[in-house]
Amino acid sequence: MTVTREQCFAQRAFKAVSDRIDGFGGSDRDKKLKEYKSFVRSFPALIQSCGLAQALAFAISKNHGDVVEDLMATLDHQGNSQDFQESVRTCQLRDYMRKSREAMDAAGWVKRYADGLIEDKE
Amino acid sequence: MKDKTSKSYWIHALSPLHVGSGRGVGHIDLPIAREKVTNWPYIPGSALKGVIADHHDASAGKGREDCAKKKAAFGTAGDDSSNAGALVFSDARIVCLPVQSLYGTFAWCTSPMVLRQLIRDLTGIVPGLEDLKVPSLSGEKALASKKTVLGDDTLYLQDLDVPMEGCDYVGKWAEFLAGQVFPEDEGWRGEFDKRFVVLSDEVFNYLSEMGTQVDARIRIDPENGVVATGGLWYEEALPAEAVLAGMVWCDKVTVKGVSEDELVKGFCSGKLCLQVGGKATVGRGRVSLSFQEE
Repeated sequence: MTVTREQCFAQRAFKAVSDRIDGFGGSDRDKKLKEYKSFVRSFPALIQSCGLAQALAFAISKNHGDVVEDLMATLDHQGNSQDFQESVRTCQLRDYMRKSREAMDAAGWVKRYADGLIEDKE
Repeated sequence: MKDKTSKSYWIHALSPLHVGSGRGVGHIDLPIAREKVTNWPYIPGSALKGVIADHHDASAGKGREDCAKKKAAFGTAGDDSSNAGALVFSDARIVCLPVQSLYGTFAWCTSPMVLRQLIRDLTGIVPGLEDLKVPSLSGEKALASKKTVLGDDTLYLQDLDVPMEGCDYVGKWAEFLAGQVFPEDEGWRGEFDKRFVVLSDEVFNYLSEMGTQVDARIRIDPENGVVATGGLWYEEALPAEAVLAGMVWCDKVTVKGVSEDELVKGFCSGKLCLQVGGKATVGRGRVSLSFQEE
């Protein structure tokens, strides 16, 4: 049965974010959760304002490879983070526009689940 | 519904413009209104009608009751004495989207589909439009007027590099649109001409989504002076310099002693400086609206 693109993104993003939350452990779990959530919240707007290639490079430079991985999982990208960035850097304009749009949608789902699943703590 | 009273109006955004569509479910908490089919930003006619009524001191209620013309133009509510307003405002549709450019500061971007729809809407209303041809353009190419300051053979828009060519048709479009948007300002007409560019529909669509302004807003907690929990949100705006167009006409007037011409001349003439849409207190929505000259 056919499912919509948004349903696919939703399923994959839910799994990626749930697994990410389960994976955070140790005494600084709350701090890690807070940082992850904070970056995820700003990530789609970053893609929109700076462009996909720059947003990915920025995430890596700020030690948020985890967010890039969750984005890749949501997009069902087969391969590692380097491949993904490489494909974004080198693709033609037509593909770049499509990838950017899909990445914005996917990042929106990651944000939505991170918002819903990680509780704000004072 | 074009009749002898129809005329066009042209909007030039002087500050970012937030005509919202309520709460968004995407990454933007407060997105702007967009047409369903094209997903291009627009201003609903209802938003403009209210603002223009207010500009003429004809807001619903007391402002209209005492003046037959205002009553006829904008309508009145009430069980026994209600009447429909005669002035009809179409939605204002996007004509040029301003996008950051390495050369020329910014470009006024449009696309063949935008121009085609403009011709369909305004032919027979705006003289000269029937002589203009829609440039044919596909793939990753841009067409500019020969006076362009946007670059030599490449247009550097935001993070897109697009091959660009000079084209006479495009120069004619630039001249025509500049005449409508800046009827009394030769300086700005020249600036428009130098920055007007036609992109392919797909690049224009992309920029109409990715090229809008997204601002992060926060609410400070007065107790500790830092952002309050849950007090961060993102709101979208159509960038300053955007150009939109629509039309207005006068439907049947139901108030005695008032003519259609009188209403169009009285309420839809000249150039108005208005505030349209939300977020006015943080500087959003300052526009210049020019009605087509008689």
